[in-house]
Amino acid sequence: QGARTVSGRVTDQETGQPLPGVAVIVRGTTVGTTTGANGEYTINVPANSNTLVFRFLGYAEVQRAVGNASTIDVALGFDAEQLQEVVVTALGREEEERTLGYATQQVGSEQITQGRERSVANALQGKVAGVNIQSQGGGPGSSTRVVIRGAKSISQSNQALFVIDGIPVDNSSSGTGDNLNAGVDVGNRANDINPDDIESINILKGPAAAALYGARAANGVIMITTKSGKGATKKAEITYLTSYTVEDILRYPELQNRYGQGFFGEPDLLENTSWGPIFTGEVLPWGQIIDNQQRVKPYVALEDNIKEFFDYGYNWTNTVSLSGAAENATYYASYSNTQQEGVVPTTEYSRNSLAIKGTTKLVNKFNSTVSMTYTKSGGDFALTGQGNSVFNQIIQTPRDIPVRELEDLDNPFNDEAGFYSPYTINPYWSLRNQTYENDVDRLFGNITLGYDIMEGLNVTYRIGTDFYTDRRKQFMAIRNVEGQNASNNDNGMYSERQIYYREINSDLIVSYNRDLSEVLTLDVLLGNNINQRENDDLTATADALANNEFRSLSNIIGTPLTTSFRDKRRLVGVYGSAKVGFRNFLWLEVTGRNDWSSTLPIGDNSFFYPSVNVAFDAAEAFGLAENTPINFAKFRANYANVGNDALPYSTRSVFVSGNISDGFAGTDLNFPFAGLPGFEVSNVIGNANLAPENTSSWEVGADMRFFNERLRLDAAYYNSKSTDQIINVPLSFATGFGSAFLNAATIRNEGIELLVGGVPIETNDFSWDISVNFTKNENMVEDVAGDNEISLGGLSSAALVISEGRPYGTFLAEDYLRDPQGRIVVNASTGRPRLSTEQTYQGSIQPDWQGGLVNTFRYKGLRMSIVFDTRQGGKLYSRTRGTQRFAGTAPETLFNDRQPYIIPNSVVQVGTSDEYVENTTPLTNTNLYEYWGNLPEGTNIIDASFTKLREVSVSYRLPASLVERTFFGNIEVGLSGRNLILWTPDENTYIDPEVNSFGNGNLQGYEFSSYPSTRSWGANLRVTF
Amino acid sequence: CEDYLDINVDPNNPPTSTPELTLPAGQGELAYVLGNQFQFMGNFFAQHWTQAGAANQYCDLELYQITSSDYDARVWGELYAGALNDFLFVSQQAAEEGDLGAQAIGEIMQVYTMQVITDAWGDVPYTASLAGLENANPEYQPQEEIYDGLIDQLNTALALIDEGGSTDIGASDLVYGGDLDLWRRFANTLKLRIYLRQAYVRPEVAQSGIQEMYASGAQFLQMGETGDVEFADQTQNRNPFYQTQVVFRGGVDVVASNTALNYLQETGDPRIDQFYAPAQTGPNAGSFVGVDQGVECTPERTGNQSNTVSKPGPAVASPATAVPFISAAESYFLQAEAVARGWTGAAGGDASELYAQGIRASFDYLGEDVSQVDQLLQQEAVAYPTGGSVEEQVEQIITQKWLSFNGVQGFEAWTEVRRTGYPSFIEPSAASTLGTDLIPKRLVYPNTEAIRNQNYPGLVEISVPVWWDVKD
Repeated sequence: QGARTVSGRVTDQETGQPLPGVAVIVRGTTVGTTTGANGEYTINVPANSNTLVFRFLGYAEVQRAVGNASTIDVALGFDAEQLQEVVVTALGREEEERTLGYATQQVGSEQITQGRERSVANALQGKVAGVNIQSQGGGPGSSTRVVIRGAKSISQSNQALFVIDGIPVDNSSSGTGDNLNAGVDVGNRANDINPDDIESINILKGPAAAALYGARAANGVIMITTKSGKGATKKAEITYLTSYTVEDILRYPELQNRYGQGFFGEPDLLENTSWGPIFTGEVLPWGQIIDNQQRVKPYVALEDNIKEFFDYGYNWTNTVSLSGAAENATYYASYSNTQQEGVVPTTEYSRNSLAIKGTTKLVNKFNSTVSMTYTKSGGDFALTGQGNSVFNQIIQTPRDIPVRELEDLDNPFNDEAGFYSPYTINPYWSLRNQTYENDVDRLFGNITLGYDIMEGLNVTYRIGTDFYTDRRKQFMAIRNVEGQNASNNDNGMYSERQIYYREINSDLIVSYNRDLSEVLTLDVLLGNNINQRENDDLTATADALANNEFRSLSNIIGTPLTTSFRDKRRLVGVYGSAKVGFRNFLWLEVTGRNDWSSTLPIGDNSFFYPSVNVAFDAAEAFGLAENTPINFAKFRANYANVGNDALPYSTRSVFVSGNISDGFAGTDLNFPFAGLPGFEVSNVIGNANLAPENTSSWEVGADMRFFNERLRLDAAYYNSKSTDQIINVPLSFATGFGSAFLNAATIRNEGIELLVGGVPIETNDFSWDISVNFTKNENMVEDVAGDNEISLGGLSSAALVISEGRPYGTFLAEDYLRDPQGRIVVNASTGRPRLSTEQTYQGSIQPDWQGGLVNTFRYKGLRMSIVFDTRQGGKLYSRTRGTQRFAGTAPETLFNDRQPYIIPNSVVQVGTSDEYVENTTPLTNTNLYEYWGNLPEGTNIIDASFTKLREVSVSYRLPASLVERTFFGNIEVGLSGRNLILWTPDENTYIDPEVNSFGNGNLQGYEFSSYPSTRSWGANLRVTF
Repeated sequence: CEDYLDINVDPNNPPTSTPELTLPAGQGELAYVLGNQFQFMGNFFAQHWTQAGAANQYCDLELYQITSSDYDARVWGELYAGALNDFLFVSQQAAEEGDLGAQAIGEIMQVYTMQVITDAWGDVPYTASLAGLENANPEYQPQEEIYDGLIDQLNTALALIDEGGSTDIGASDLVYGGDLDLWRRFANTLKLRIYLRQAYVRPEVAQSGIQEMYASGAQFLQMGETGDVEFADQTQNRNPFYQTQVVFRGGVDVVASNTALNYLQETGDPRIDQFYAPAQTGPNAGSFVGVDQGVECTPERTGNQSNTVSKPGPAVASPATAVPFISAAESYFLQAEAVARGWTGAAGGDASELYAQGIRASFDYLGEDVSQVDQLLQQEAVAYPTGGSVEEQVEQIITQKWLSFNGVQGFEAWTEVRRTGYPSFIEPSAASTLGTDLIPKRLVYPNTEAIRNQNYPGLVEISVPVWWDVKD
């Protein structure tokens, strides 16, 4: 067929409004045009070409056979679900996905918001390959950790960089510093992002994708593009969205229901353990005698006494947004309010955000974008960890204590003096009198100004800032009673902390693109980046209060302890990239960046790193689309190098204000001492010769689509090696120091990512889209200076360490003493296991693999999405297990019905010889508690595998015929549920293994009497005017 | 650009320090370890204190189950990388500044700290220690060599003072406010302690060293000259035993051991109400009652609340209770032992009088009326066995010395029990998992050494005596 001219009009399927700027391309050629302001186009179709492709950001691509037609009108449907062709890459550039030589994955707004999840990070769970997203607990406002392609750094963050509209924003999470005792998960700063404001998220997975962002992007980037009003019709559109979800606890520990309160098999009304006699059903007194009265109850198990402690929580979100577009301008504005109330009484979180964004294209070749978001967030949190945290107490509660009857604190049997046990405190009292709250005010945004110097040559300047204050208040009431509970008396405590953070980011970018010839295209970019980040942190703590009447630093006794900390770092970078395209099927891009960082030794603070990537579209090159079921076949490969600087102030040794601690909270000796300052030689040796860290990686991958895109496949293999890792290498204390900053570790991550999707059924009314993602990452610490073991933290008896030849984050924990045959060696006189003198490695936190399954069904206006998420392998330390064993509430403590028994297959050492003989000493009723309560900590490390029904959502868009009669533009109703079902291996009868007590830093894998995770379900409504 | 990036100067912590700023940090750290972890351990092992029934926090100390992680970073680490390294800086920096007095104080404190370390763990890094990255794997040295080195170091320090050294350190010296005469006596008393520690393993060395001291007219600490660090009743400035046990733990764990309490009651010693407080509740409310050592960590436990028995008393468990490094009482008891052994010549004075002075100094330090001591000395179990064998005299001296350490110098109390085997009425804890006659003889090397130091000598069990511990 010969050449001919085709024209037509492209409109929005929903509104019928014309769409300007739509790319119209003749398939298999470089011939293309874009639609004008009225959505119209005219294109010359060369001979032997027969297909037009219509592409527009945020809309599903449409292909039309030309045939003999001279007019082709197309209505594009908005479709975030489909892999989009144009994606946002580093620095906020929009690039055609098929020209990229590295892996990215785009998630549209519908997928992000369908589950009505408050946290942007959580909303991605189960939907992306190569990304490990772990929500750390179920508390309102709790944090989430996002790691792409494995952990690389020991002392610095491993989390992906969050970038909003081209500008990096802070996603740190600073907890309480001491999570063992009264720790609090105060959330991470990505929580400040309102998911409803997001247009799309593109995940740049490897260093190659992110090389232009420099140091911080070695961990990959979560590129968030906010709504702009683009694609909106000229008329203003108002959208109102409301959703209400209810939540309760996802996993309660299993409990024994045979033995009640007591110790050594005997009743004991003071005990908070269940080592008492077997249940009899008799009506017996319980608790203390107060005013010659004592409460009575039947001595029976209360199967749900723990469950009854928890409430239903809820999350109510209301968002109203306004958007519109004019000839050369778009705008978007929104206000959103989220109120969350936790399952633990008194816990809550709220977020209010106000966002505005506007773009203009001015006649004099200028274009500009302004975007700004103000967020106010904060919450009331429950303390976690050991000691008197409610979670610790509630798990120990004897099986016959009616927890709900403890709620009324005015009842003399429940107040501080009258509470039944001196070994613990009333959890309801703790919630009301031991509080932690915070209040965050945050502003982030940027101004971008671009100028088209000439056709293809553009200069853009963008300046952005992100700053917040986080004000925190912790209060612990005075307890002063007489009698048995006097041991819990406390002078009270009050603390205020103010965290201030500010980041400034400036980019000057010159870009140039032109067609070098018929077959060659060129895109060049040069830029300069200046980044400054600073923290300012001030804390005042008083450990004695004047009274409980009000919460202020004026209501204290003595002098408060004040500490302040600040740091500032600067980075200057120059970067460039050049991308050459050949015949619209082969692209080669090289990038380079040089950074100068303030955190490296001055004079030796410059480092350069390059990357190169190739993309080859075989379908285009060989015309496969015409002759085979292969619609698209892209192969990509890349190699990248990314440098990283050090933590501030690592380059020289200092003196630090004297402090010495015994590990208990508030018992330090802290200088000034009686008014006298004291500075000790810091235990850390600074290093004036630090070199930058480096991660080098390579990756190959393919993106293939078949049968008119009914089947999609995206696969990637990557291998990255992070060398010269700057770590605080532990030293023998006998050197006079505890550690030194050295370039001293190498970590390798190697893995595959698979994304397989398809549309098994597609009719006019019905479609089923299925997508499976699979990730396997193998992590190995290949070298650590001097065979050292670096502790990431945790317990001294069950630490998480970095050790050569083992994965990042391996447990090193107490173990049984075993004979050469592996039998447990017990103490001959007690029959209890002996501990091995050396701790052993007991698995790592790294999962073997993880995956997700996303099913989306559509029937007319009805849409349903079901997401499964699984993680297999990896270990977790469960303090709940330890506590339940100690307290005798775990079902396993019923072994042999608590009658005397000899530990199966146990032996006794003969003297100090190598001879072992069979153990004949049974555990008895009197030391069963000691057996279960003193098992080596390593026995509390359990399989962390899980599978979750992560998300189910149903939405229904009312037919246009109905809506037309109203003043609404669109009405959509929906139901959503998250984390509805949890499957775990049999040995985990305790907790949701996703829970981590120590926040979203590098110390993972500890459930330390954490805030339990929740499941939620609810309804939502979206209307537009 | 270089200027723009030249901001990597830590605004939170100074790059330099002075002896005045660092000496108190070192002294505070040392006092914290001795007043906290080692106070618990020492007073449990020496049987002044024991575990209360209704809790089990310190049962490890009763079971004698000390692991390699128990006294690691926060004790071993603070002693080496905290106190010792700070004292090293003080003496080096003072030498540079020409402050010979401060240099001497730094040296003396190093010797004191090093003796605590080697008495706890035996063979440890000494001359190879404190070299930073220049020796990342410090070699372990026999305790005998360390003891010789400590004497040399003390002689160096004493020479600095004797040569007319002075100091500007003033109130920054938490122990003596920069009074070098007191420091000289402290150093002499410490030297006497170091020699007497060798009384059984190398009596000839101890004897000649002590003879030399007396021949040259060495003076020792006298009444009221206890070298201690006082704590302050302010946030995180309080006595660490008080903060940890009385406040943080609510006083639920530590109660009077019958071993010490019975001796006080048998001898009618008025110090009982300084060392202990009467039971607050229960059938014994208002009277002094203790618990048999370790019994609450056995199946025979009563499970009784701590406030039904005696807890540590006002002189040892108050917010501002001081932690002594060497007490005046200890000084007299050391002198009494030296005299009793006949190692002092005529210059040593009378052993029974020095013994009585030791008890008086203990009364004085606790705020008890010193005039009661004469009456106490009439008690058969307290009277000095003038004319008895040397060993009988030593036993009497050490028994009263042990008592004077109650609640304040726990580490030294345990150490002297190890050296001498006195008081002879100490039997192992009822919960002991060691052999029937054994109390702990040392601490096991910390876990960080096993991991971080290639010269780690391997596990040495808690039942293995240190070098100077040769007497049964």
